[in-house]
Amino acid sequence: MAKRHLGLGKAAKAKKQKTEPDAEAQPQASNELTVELSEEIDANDELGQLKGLWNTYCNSEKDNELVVNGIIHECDRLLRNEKESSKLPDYFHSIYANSLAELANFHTTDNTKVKEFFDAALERVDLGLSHYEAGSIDLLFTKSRILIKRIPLQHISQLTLESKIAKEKPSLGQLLDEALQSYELAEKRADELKQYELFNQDNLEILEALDDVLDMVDNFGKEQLEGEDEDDEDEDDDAPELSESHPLYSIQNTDKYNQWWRDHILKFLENVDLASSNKAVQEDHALHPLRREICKRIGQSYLQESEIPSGVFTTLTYEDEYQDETELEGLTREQAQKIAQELIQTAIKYLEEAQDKEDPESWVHVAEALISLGNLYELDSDEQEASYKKAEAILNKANNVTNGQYEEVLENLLQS
Amino acid sequence: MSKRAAEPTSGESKRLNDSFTKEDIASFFGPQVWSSEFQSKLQNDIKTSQPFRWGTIPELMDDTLLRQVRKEVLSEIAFTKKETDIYKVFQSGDLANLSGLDWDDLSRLPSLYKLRAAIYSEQFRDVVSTITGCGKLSGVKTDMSINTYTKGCHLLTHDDVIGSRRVSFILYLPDPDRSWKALYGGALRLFPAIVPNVPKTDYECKLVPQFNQIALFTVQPGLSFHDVEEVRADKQRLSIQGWFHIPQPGEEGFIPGEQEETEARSTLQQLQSKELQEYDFPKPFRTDIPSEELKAYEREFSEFSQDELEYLGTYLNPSLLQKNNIDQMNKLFLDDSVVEIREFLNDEYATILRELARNTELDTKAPANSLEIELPWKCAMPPHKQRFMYIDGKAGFEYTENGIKNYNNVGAQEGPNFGLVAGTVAPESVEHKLIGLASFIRSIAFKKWLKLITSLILTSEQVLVRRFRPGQDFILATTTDKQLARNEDELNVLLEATLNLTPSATNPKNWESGEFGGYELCMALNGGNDEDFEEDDDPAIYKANDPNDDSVLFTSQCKWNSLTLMLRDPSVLKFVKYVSVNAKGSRWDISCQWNVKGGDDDDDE
Repeated sequence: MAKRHLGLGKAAKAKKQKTEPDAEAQPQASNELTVELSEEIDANDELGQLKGLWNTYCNSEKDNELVVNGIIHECDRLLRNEKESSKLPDYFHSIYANSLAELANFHTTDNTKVKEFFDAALERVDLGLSHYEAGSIDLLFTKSRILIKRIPLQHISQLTLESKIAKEKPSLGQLLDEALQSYELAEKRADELKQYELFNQDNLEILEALDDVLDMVDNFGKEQLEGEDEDDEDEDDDAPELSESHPLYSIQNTDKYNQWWRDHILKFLENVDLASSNKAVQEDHALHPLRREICKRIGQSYLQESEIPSGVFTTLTYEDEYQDETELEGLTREQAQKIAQELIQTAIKYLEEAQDKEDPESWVHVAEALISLGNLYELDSDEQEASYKKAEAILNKANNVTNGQYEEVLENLLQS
Repeated sequence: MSKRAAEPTSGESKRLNDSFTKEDIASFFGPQVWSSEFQSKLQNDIKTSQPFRWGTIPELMDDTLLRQVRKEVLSEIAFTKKETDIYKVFQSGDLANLSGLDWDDLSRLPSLYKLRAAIYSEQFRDVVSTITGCGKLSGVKTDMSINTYTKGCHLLTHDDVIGSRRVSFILYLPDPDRSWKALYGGALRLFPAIVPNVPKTDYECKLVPQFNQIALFTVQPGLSFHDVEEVRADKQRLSIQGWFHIPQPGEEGFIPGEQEETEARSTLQQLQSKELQEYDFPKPFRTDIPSEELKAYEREFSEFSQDELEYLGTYLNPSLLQKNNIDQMNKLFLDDSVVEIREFLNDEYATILRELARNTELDTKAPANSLEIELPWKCAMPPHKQRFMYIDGKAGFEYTENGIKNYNNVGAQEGPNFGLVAGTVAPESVEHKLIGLASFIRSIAFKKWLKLITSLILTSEQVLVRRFRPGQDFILATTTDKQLARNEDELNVLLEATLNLTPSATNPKNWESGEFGGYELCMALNGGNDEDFEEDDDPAIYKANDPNDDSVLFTSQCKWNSLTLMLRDPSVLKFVKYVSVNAKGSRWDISCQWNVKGGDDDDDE
């Protein structure tokens, strides 16, 4: 047989025999890192390379401290070489600051270090900002991001249920306000410059991080269920109540931050649309996934808001022991019904915009909201039937493509 | 049956400490187990059960004891994921694994110790003998393992026949406080046989397991085919699974020579099962390329005519027809015996095909069993080797003993004709486009293109359009025949092509991780020595995604519009991993095999 036509198995064996001695002769240096950058980056463009390196890290599992250290060293070097740091672009300072803050993730058990990293990161971002009197969108976003990230890692992680507000320390509410203020300045600057490109996936993470912090505060002290069946919904224990002197009390007991989040994610969506209006609209426009993600989150937040009035309506309508009550949570049955319906209708509007033809889960979100809406109409009314029917059609279609992944949702609907 | 143990390894232990009294043992079980009325009802149920003799007992053990067992297992035992072509499961470690389960030292696991003593006690063995009618069982040869099936775990069809196994059992321990729902998956499914050693494609009977329920059946060579449906929910389906063996020397019921006879029978059965290819569909039959057509490839040529270019251009990405690219692909193929060509079809053809295939997935339910599959699609079988949908360009037949015999031995033997089959489907259907591609692959112009890429002359061919549905389809590891060359001119290899056309793979996240299966994997059999491999080897144990595992020669995740050409010698094992029920769509491909001979310029050395 011709040598070159050995076949996959035999060729591999032949190669192995040939290469094995070499492999031993050249042990790989274990502390050397190779990071592959996208081909488009110009080898002579140092800043472009830095940006590429940072993006590559951000798109990775973010679990390699060596890469972050490498980026920081590179920032140091570029800074030393550039006599006037004012000539460095704002994204340079932003990457530098973000990498310093990123180091905190690798040392969460050492609060002193965590504090040092955040302090250094904030110092770097302020230095950068000092070159931009009118503000830089990128740096203002970065500052907001670091300030938000700092709250759980540096502060909440140190708290117990018994913690008390300490006089010498700023309150967590103040820290959060500071973060949001920087975000608002970024928003304002974008409006002034009519530049909306930075309303991107990366900066959407700031709002996501805020959402996580608010969630964490709401559930503070709640025991995490260990082991199996963590996903079960039936164990909906409430978090323990915090005393008024607890550092998280002020954040937990106001609706201000949730409202802020809603207002600004709506604004974010507007700005994404402004950014895309500058470009030709195409079906597979790069901004579409981002837009869908935002709409999904907005829709979910309206659904969440509808939970209390929905609960009031169903309790007053269907639970025997509440038959004599006319009000719950300050709402009558009819008020609760109307409020909840409106909220869910708004949610459906956004969830419909979040639908992706390729992603059945996104259709199912709409179906589930339609079922919730149906539940808010009078029993067996035309509106209720219409709402359930729409949901059923969506669920049938989703079950086709997923081999019945949503059978349970459908079964529950058909039983009701 | 494949030639290896389908079952995960299990620990075997020495003689049990018989420190429990009969009363103790009795108290370890649920009370109804000892009722003779209950036993005779069960005996009757098993006698009349389908598709083979099996039975189940709910609330087998004392509830408190089994809850304790579950607690001990979850807190004391480390589970490791194991995956091969036939299963994905988390197993308790064996004796060699210190962090795992040591069946010889259950001191940390007092309840598990009690459970094992109870299961293998004479009292309970007698119950099992009575209800199954299987004869006496060994109390000293214990054989249990603990497995947990989490989301994505599965065990494909097999018959459990190995060595001296007489009765298989599975005791289920999902969360005791919640009922296990059918839609979580993880059911035990039993398959009837078309003839012994050939299970039917569709299961007949399905047991949705609950806490403290045992399923058991006599190991019946060639008949007791079963599988574990994939767990689709994020839940833990814990089970203790094992066998009762035939009595050992010194035990009541020991018959000299029986063990040897049983073992020999099971080995023979495995061999027969392997040899029994009459019921395999599709068959690895390649049709010979007529000698007149062969001349077109044997002639030397380096360029295409205008007509050929035009024809090739209606399907192929135009850059694949450029000389420099052809040379580059040729070099890669000759160096590595494999070349992967992305963006194989041109944009126009690819866009229409993708839209049609994806819409088929989105708008219609994939056939849930072989009866729902309609021509021109057929169902690959038998399911202890493979299951998938395919179009081979030939007439259909009935999936019964008679239907298959007639098709194999009596009826008209017709070659594939994709052109004719195309006329049987709607012109705007995905089938029409796929069949069109299959015809294209059999064209003279394309085979000439293949010669330029591979420096090989194709002498026979088989083209199959295939679809692997989530939750159903796979091909277990197989090799080719050892002798592939049919004459002196042919090389002892096959040229294989897989044109991967998975529409959901345009989003790489849907398949890249391998978590949802559907990938094609090639392994070296015994390091490339095809002469003398051990029958007992389990060559398909590999570490998924481990770049350091050099027995893996090639892996290809589901992709959109990508052609892999591979020269396969008899030392290569190949399989298509079971597609998870949670996958975002089916794996679609066109699979081709050709016998080959060398081009004129490189005849024998």
